[in-house]
Amino acid sequence: MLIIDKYAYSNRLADSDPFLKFIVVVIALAITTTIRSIYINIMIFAMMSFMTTKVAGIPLDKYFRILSIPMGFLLISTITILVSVSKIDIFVYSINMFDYYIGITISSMEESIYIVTRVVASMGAAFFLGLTTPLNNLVKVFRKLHLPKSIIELIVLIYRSIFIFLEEAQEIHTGQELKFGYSNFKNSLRSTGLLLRSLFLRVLLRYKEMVIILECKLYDGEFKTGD
Amino acid sequence: MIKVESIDYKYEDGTLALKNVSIDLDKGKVIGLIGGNGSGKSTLFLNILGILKPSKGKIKYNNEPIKYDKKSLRDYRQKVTMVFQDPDKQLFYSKVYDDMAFPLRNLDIAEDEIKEKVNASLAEVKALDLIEKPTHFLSYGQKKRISIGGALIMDSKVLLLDEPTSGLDPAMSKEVKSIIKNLSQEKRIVVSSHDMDFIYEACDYIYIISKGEILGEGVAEDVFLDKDILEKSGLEKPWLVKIHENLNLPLYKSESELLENRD
Ligand SMILES: Nc1ncnc2c1ncn2[C@@H]1O[C@H](COP(=O)(O)OP(=O)(O)O)[C@@H](O)[C@H]1O
Ligand SMILES: [Mg+2]
Repeated sequence: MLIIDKYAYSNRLADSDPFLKFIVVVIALAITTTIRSIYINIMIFAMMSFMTTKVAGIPLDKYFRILSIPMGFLLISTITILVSVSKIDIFVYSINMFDYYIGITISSMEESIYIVTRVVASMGAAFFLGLTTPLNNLVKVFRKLHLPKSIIELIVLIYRSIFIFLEEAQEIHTGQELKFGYSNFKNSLRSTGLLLRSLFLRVLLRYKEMVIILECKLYDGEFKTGD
Repeated sequence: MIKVESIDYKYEDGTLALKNVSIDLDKGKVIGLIGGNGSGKSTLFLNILGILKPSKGKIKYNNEPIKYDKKSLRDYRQKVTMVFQDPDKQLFYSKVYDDMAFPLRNLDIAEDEIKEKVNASLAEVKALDLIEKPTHFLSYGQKKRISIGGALIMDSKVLLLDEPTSGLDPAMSKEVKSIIKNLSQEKRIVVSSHDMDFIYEACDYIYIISKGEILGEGVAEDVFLDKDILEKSGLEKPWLVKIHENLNLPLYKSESELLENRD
């Protein structure tokens, strides 16, 4: 996951104007949320992934691997929209259970495709900004937008915390794996429990250390970007 | 400069990590603090920085006890900086330049001046080529350079280095030694370590700490000839002292001195 941060700093668009990128992304998001068209959504996604991979130079396979994480959640949640239950058979495909029909209607199918493409387009846009813009440049945009200091502070600290969390989780997991902690189902369950417990303790510790470092670096409640 | 006057420090869980510790940073240009794992070196540094507050005793800067309100500490930490043992924990931003610039930006210094200072500090630690790199993917030695450079950027009067050579290869240790030597011209330096050879060569005045207590102090050549103290603190003698005692050679301060005088 750290890979996201690496690309944000080393892609070909890292030093390009963050405001320009931000505006492009906002326009894309505005279009996909106001205009109800599957084709426009697909076009937006195609454009965004083109800019992220071909223009900024993030490898295609890595790009799709990173996208696949939220896509998983997306698919699970579309199922709840796609499938409905009724006493009469109004479905295109359905199964009969007791007195009820469970299935998919034409309109639920259209609705799901529409929602999926819209979310995919939005994600393409958000990931374009996130993957090609270093944190410090994002903060520049937030400051220009006059976002409250405390919100910017939250964003930066959450961003940082995600990395701390993932680093620690990775380290504990590797340690457990070396000790055959995931060799069978029972071990895996136990190891996962242990992982969560020590993850909590270690993240707290890292948090304390981070506060000390921020103090030593004279942080005073506002992330300044030097502009 | 800084004087630590008989401080105690107790952690929340009851561990008494420092007992009646007194240290005077005017005793030398490069002060060594030696002690084994868990002897209290890092705790002492955090007390000197004002991160931890001693439960007894005082820390004085220019003969004034340091104050613990936010503003005083902020001023104080421009004069006293620290390089932490683990460089991973010292890096906050993911880009070398942003991380180095961070404290200066917090002081509202103009970006042009910041750029100059970042360049100068990176040059001092021989890491100019890393300026645009993402920090997460640097090697351990590179991260160490950046974290030392990051502490130099503030132009502080006192620099605390917590185990600066741990985890470094011999070549990089040597370089840290020469960086320390250069820096000692312009600022007071305190180095903690259990690497005896390193401390012996790099420092001119030494404190030995064990289980939170200062067992002995003195100029490098004296401290390391004191058998009792070294034994009590479980530390080894530097090799230059060993060959002096066992091979009847004069006591040299560095390897190069030994080689020059060999014939
Ligand atoms: N956050 C803490 N809470 C409780 N005890 C601590 C904490 N940090 C260090 N200690 C204890 O204080 C003593 C001194 O630790 P430390 O200053 O880290 O030693 P050193 O840096 O010389 O290895 C040790 O016994 C250690 O276990
Ligand atoms: Mg320590």
